Amino acid sequence: MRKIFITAFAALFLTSSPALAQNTTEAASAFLITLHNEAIAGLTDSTLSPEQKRENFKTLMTKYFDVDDTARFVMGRFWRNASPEERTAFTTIFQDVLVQRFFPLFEDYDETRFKVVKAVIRKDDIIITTTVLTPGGETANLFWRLKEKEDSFQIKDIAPEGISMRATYREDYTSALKSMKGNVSEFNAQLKEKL
Amino acid sequence: MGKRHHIFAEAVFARRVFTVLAFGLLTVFALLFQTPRASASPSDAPASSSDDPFAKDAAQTGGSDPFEGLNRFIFGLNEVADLLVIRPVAQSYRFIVPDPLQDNIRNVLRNASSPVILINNILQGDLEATENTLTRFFLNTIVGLGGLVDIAGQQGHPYRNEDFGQTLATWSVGRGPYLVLPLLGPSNLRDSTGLVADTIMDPLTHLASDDLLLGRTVVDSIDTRARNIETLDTLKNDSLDFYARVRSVYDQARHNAIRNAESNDQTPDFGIVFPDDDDQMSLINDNS
Repeated sequence: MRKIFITAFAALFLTSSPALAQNTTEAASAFLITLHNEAIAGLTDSTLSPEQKRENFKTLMTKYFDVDDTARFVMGRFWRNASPEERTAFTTIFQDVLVQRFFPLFEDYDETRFKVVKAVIRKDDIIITTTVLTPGGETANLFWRLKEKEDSFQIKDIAPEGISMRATYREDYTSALKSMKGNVSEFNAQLKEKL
Repeated sequence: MGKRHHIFAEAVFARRVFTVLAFGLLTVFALLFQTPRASASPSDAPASSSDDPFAKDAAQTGGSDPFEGLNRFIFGLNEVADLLVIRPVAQSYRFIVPDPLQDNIRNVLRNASSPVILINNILQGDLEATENTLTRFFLNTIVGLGGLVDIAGQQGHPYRNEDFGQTLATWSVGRGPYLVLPLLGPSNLRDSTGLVADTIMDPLTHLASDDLLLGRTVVDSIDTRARNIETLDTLKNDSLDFYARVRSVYDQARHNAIRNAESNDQTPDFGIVFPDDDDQMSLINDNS
């Protein structure tokens, strides 16, 4: 039943403003390609040291990835009880976690490996399907969830082969926080050790 | 085989570890107890889950983990077994066996699982997938030298696993509680039931000797583990609660596989894959 509603809603939305929807998905795809090109420029230059590349990646991430929103989400209900200082500390650490995790994807990158397949609108977000050629030679699906922000977009979530990073980190972190009785400071300290 | 992208750690882990380790434990049980197959998991009837009107929803959004304590205990044992035995053996396997031969071994194992995949394709009423599985089996068995070479894959007939757990899901059977099986790892009531059914419906279970079945299981497990050494390390690296992370990855991967079986669509169900902020996912067992 829910599916029917969603389909009906999507149909209504798409028929009422096909041009608008198409513009948005095209703009979002273009955004992703821009990001991709910037990543290649800043990360594949062989004259750069690994540390410089890492810094470049962090800059890209701050610019294009909605770290604040993601940090809030992955902490779940524990975000509410965290002090402003704890929240800021967590967001900073979490960004480093993401850099540590995502940087290797872009580190040995080349253009031929990345392809935008399609983009669709889901509620307020744009979901973009891309394929990536892994070093093993297999094609893997990489899904991006973007939201519009001012005149551009921001990345809200990435799902390699459909496994949402946002959801995975949230389950991991909320479960850990629960076992620490919601002690965010202790949680932050333990997370920092993982870096 | 090159180093794998770390970002795909969850995906690769979920796909491979589940599908390939699947036959393992049952064969081990069969040999240990010398009362094979049917007795392996008598309590796995899906009755309770299909009675539950919310079972389907639970299956879609993750779901309950009422045996978390026991599950964590078994999860811990599995990790010890992995550290002491499985991982070292897998590392040696990867070091000793040349890459092309590793691929041949995997191709043969996959080809041998074709009958089970075929039955599930049919049970799901998926004609396209049925045709794909049949084409793969005949092409790879005859032209691909008994399955050593994945000719069909090169001809646009990619390997796609289907199991009875997915078939049950397409029949609207709910996920049931999350379970961690000894040595086999993450599962749930529906998938464990599927595992037993798959083993029973596999012609090799009835035709091959116990030694051969055990050999297949062992090689299969080692091959899988060998392909996932970096993946699992990455997955564990920045995790604070590895058990919870694996549970989430397993649920998501199975959900995608089921959707894929239902609609033949590679695109994941975005509402689930990308949960909304106000969506209080019950994944966490959030009681307090």
